[in-house]
Amino acid sequence: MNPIITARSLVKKYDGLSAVDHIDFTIHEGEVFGFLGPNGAGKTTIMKMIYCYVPPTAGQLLVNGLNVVKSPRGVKAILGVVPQEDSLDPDLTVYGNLITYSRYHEVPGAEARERANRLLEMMSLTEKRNVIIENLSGGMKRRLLIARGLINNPIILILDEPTTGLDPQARHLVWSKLKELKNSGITIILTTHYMEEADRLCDRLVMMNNGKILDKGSPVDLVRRHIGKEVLEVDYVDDALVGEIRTALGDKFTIDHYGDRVYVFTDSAHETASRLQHLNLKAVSERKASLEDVFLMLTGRTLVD
Amino acid sequence: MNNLNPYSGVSHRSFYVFLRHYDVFMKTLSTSLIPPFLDPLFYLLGMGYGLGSMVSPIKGMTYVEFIAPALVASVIMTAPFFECTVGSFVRMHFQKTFDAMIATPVSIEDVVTGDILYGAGRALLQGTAIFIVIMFFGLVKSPLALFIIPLCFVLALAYGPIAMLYTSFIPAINYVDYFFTLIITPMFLFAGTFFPIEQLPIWAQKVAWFMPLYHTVNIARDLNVGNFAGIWDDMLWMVVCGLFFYALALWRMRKRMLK
Repeated sequence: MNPIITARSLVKKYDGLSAVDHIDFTIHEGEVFGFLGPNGAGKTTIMKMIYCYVPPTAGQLLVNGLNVVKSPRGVKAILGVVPQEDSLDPDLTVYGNLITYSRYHEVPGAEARERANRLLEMMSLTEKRNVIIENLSGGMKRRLLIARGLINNPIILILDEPTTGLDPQARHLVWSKLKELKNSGITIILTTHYMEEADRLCDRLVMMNNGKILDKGSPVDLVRRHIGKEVLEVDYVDDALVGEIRTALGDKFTIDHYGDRVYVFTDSAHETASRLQHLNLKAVSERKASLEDVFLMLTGRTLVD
Repeated sequence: MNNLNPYSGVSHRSFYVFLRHYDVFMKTLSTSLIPPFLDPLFYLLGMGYGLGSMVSPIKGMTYVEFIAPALVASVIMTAPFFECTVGSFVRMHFQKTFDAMIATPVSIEDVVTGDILYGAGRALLQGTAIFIVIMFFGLVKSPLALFIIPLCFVLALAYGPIAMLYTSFIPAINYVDYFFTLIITPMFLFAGTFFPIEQLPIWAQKVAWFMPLYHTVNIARDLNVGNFAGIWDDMLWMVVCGLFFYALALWRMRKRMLK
């Protein structure tokens, strides 16, 4: 596993405030690496530093051995960038967007036309070839952004919140396209605040909040380390109820409460529930532990605007 | 990239940015081609022949002969000014075209340069249109006047950076109005286009001398009568002005976009 991106003590400050605060990470060739966190966690800033849009305040960031500050053209040549904001060229058609973008990457004409057609096919956009951008749905735009990001045959594809704002059908289509890409061996870096997305796609991920990395690992590993196998949820009534649950279960269990629910992290929700039957709990649900549980546990359930 | 030399971020890739604009232009050819011929025609008829019939000859020229080359000169200013304010701001701010471009090996300096090149291309097109109109009216006095056509492109390269510098500062599109009112209109009226600057008070003449349009008008007028020798001091001023504002525009745009 060769490291393809390494960040050492990476910092980005805006007016004295740290958007990214001394962060270290290593991304390996061929993996899908996720940055997970709420809005304002610093995910997008990291992406922008990788594609040389935001210069780091301090620290070192190497992409394929190249320093982002010293060799931005070299770095950008091997990246495919799918930004959060729609930056498709509204003055051009779907096909025109791909061809124009291929020129920025200096892909030779015949090769560019061949790639554009292949990418439109791959992203199920062939019949939209001559349509102007305005007439595409949100999902189509996102797929075209991904196609555009692939026009230079990048070594690394960067996706900043690839499915934010999409309806479920469009989201699942984007996921299946990204799975295909993953199988082709390209390194993929993505940011998301959807835990399900991270769970489905990422080999490894970091959880971020307030510009810092809270923890890193594979989704399975993170869930197992912090939560266990399953979660038992019940309706919150008052703190006395939480106390009763704690007494009934003992110290071995992590019991947590936020909003209108109480969460018990356990290896068997069903077995735990049976031990609490005498409490006549309301709205009991048993489910598998998820990344969301890890995330909420790590961020301390503070409200992030 | 050398931070002390603002030109160091410019590369041949600016041509790809220019090509993008050219592609878009070609799609709207039917609407972009006719107005450049009509505008100067109306000016020539209204100002030149209408108003001019009441004006005595200036420096041995009839009034219409006096303003004809100045009309060519004025689009050398207005075409890139329009392109690098409204056009560039829309692409930078609303369409995020700048963002998309600079996520590739294209640098922000290439984007700025591509926009300036395209502005000059528009000046070439519109200047040529006016040249054809004034030639049709018999107002071109020397074959050397043909040099005005390539100079439309070259001289317009000095105006794009001024507009681009302004664009690099503004937070919203309506600020472009100030540029039109405070920069374009005074230059258009007082830089020796419709009357010699000698008509102005001394202090205003000094101000007018610093206006790039004053020198562009001089060049157009000199070439129109075949006075090739007379253009060089004005050319020098245009080059200095162009390089100065180009450096500032590159530096400012980098500061605005990459932060």
